[in-house]
Amino acid sequence: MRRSLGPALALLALPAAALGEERFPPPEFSTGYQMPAPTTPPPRAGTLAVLDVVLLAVALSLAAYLVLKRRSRNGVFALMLFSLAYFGFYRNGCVCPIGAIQNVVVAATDRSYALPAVVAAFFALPLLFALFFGRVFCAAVCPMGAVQDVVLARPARIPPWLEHALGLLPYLYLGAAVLFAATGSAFVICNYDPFVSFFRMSGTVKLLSLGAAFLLLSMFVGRPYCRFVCPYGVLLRWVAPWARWPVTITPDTCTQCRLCEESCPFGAIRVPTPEPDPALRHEGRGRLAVLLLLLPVLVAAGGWLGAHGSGRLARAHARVQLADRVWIEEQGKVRGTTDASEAFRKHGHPTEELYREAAELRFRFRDAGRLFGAWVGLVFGLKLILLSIRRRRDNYEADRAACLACARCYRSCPQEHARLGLVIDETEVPDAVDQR
Amino acid sequence: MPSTNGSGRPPVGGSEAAYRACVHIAVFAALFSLVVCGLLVANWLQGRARFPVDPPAMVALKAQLAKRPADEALKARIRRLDREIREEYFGRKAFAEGGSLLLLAGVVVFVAALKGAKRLRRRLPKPGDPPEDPRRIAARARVVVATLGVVALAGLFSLGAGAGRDPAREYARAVGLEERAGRPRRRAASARELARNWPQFRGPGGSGLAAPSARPPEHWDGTKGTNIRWKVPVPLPGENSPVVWNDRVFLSGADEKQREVYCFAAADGKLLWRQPVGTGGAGATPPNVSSDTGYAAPTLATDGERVFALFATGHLACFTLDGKLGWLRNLGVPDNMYGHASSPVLHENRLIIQYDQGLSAEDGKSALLALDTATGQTIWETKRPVPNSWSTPLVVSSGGTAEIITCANPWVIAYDPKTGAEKWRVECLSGDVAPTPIAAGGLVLACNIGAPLTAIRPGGQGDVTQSAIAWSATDGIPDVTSPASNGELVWLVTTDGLVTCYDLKSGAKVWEHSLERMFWASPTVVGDRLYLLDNEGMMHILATGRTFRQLGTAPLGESVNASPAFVGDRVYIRGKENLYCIGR
Ligand code: SF4
Repeated sequence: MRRSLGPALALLALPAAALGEERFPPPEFSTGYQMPAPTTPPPRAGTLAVLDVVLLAVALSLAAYLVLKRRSRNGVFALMLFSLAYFGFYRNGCVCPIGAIQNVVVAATDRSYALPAVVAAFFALPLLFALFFGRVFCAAVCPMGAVQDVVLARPARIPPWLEHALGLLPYLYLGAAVLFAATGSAFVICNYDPFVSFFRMSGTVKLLSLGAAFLLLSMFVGRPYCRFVCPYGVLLRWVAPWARWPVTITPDTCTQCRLCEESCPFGAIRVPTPEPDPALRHEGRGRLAVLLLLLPVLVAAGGWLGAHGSGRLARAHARVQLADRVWIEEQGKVRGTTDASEAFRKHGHPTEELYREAAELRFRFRDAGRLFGAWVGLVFGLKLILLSIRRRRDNYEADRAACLACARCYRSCPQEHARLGLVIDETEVPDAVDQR
Repeated sequence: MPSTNGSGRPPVGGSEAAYRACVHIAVFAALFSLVVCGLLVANWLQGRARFPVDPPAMVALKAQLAKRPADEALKARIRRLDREIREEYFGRKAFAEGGSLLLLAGVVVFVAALKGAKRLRRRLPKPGDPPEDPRRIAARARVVVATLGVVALAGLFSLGAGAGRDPAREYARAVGLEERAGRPRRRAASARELARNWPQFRGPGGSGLAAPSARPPEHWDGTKGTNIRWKVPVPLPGENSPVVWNDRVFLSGADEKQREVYCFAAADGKLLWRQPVGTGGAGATPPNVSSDTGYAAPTLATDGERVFALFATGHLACFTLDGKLGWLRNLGVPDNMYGHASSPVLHENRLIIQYDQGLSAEDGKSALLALDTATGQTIWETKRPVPNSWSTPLVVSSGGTAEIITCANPWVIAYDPKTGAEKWRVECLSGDVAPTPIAAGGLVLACNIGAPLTAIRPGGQGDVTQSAIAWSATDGIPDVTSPASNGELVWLVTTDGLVTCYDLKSGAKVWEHSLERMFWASPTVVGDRLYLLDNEGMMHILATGRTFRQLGTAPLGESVNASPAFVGDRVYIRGKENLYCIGR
């Protein structure tokens, strides 16, 4: 208890740093001092951007090597610290593949937007590596994963049924991120990135509090953002099961000693399935049939509800907010103006064009909302179906989709000890789990 | 060393002293972090209390200064206070930054010490009860997932609740966009339907040539009411000419403050509907226009389903023929010396707008736009290398493909209506270009005072100034009115009444004659007659022969600037005040 209280309070108080973010008006000089004109910081030079991509590729290769070939948790940990320092604190957590999802979506929906090559590379490389080696990006390259992993002190076991349910949240978040990016409203993944304010040592009170809460949680729940929020994790989950060389807990054959059973702080180890019960088979088939029939109903209902609720969603768009505001001001339904409405009026743009733009945006939101709702229905429907399909497993295995390739479980396997030559006497107790 | 711990598993490895050291460091780091945290929070709260943007003391002093602007002592006080606040603010900021770093260090040490201690007290795995049956897990998970699904869908539903009070519904209606979805897309009007009507400026083809079915009277007298079927006042002024679709006649009117579109019954002139355009919409500051041009110079266009009206303020409205707002846009107040006058024209489901602006081509403001007639959305917009102009675009068919012909100083440029891409251009114009080009006998004819009448063979590529000009002629070039042709001869009429007739094939001048009247309305060829309407409302009817022959005149009794519309056995003329329907 004493151990956990200190950092808990410390982390919660980090928002104090937010003071640095508030704005200050320029001073009023009595002399003819000329205020320097605001300048835009130059974009990261081309060569340095390429360096980022090269480092990403090297880090991913190294991660794959350390996880699969060396099977070294220490190596993974060291690489993770490097990634945290470079991609996190030095590069301020940007570009990152998670946020790059939005750039890809905008590039796909807006012809006037060209996807920068660096962003495309950051988006694609981790997926490409996952196709061969599993989620090695999560293991040691992602700074967001690293910061959570580093503070993990006493991982609590999340009941598997809850893990299944919470594991759907990233799908919903991905859907929302795509919706808002495709409608040009916001990059929500970046706006609500809980760790970026730590990497930059500055941010709003809200964001710093969110980050502190996540870090606090990360001490007791293994990588909560990665497992229950990260939208890029969804894409990795789709790709990783096809990995050519996936993580294997044991370097040899599984003897079902059960020693690795609780070694994964992320609940990614799957136990062997019991013998099928013929009596239950019939019931299972019936349920599956019902759920298969339910799927299109859920998709349609979600689509309808999404379109129905799209008006509210559209208010996330600044132009829609402005149009709403200008309209109620014009209609005399509110008194006074907001900064945005005042700026709009000063600019002298015709209000009709604003209304048109906002009305058109709402049509876009209706289409996007319909797709989002259908996606929500699809996610839940498919999950229910997947939960009703029996899969056979004879050994203890890392779930390829969920495994973050952290290499923690290796040392819990006696075969690994044998491989490393740590077991001198057959009767000796194997070394313990390294829960770093 | 205890043999077991809380989890019942024996700890392994690590010396006791090292373990204790780790624990002590962790405790110290935690305490240190807590203290730093406390200080940071206090600093933040104090900083918030003295919010730096509008501190009340400063606001009060500034209010005093507004009353006594020359009070130097007050100014000095303000500066002093400003400096104090600023210093405190940046002091706190530096404190927060330093504190954050210390806090970070404290947390890092704490986590490292904790992990060290943990490593020194590693526990052996000890499998407990057999793992839970995956079927049971799945069953429980299904219940939770289903519940979560219901919650998610309910969340979506709750988003839509209260949508009735959404202001968006109201303003979407105001710009005519509230029910776009599901609106069936109507096929474009057929050539036959177009020919039966007068759908845009200068009639069905846009070249001032009435349909062969037109049989207007040869005589009328507005002062006596002879052959005047009806005459109705038009509420607001406007220089636009009537357009006609079946039983309806459309006009627009505007002054500095208001804009309206009118629909009159062709049968009796009854005002069927009048609709305001862009009311309640601030933002569009009315431009300066000359009194000759006014705020409603562009003639309307109709596709038989909707009618489109453009105003000098940049307002562009689409109404159904029944007067329901289809959509409303504002293209931005045009930067036009005299006021925008170019009329919108239609091609298939596109509304083409020549939006030339600026005193010189370098201003880069001019553009040609194609909008979706159903939604008003811009399909394409092509920048034009020209200054402001007053000429209406013309859609011609050349070799089976359509081209949009535009005139402005110094270019006649043709565009592809599908993409807006430029096809060809000819340098042959100068000055403030107002006459609209016409198409006749496979040629495009463009002119403006100060430049010749140029006959161009359309269908080229690139700058075809050297190759595409069939002929050019320099006499009797108008500065306002547009040419007219019957496919054999071309007529021009200048503002001061000089009518010049050219041979369309050779460009040779056939005859010229001065009517000694002022003309702003463009001539129209109706069968074997040429109708010329002067500014006093007198219609001069000439034979379309190779010699000048006046067949008659018909007075309206009211001055006129707009061009008449010829549909069936009727002529519609917009006088300064009234709309006339002439027919036997
Ligand atoms: S490598 Fe092992 S411990 Fe790490 S996430 Fe995968 S299964 Fe869990």
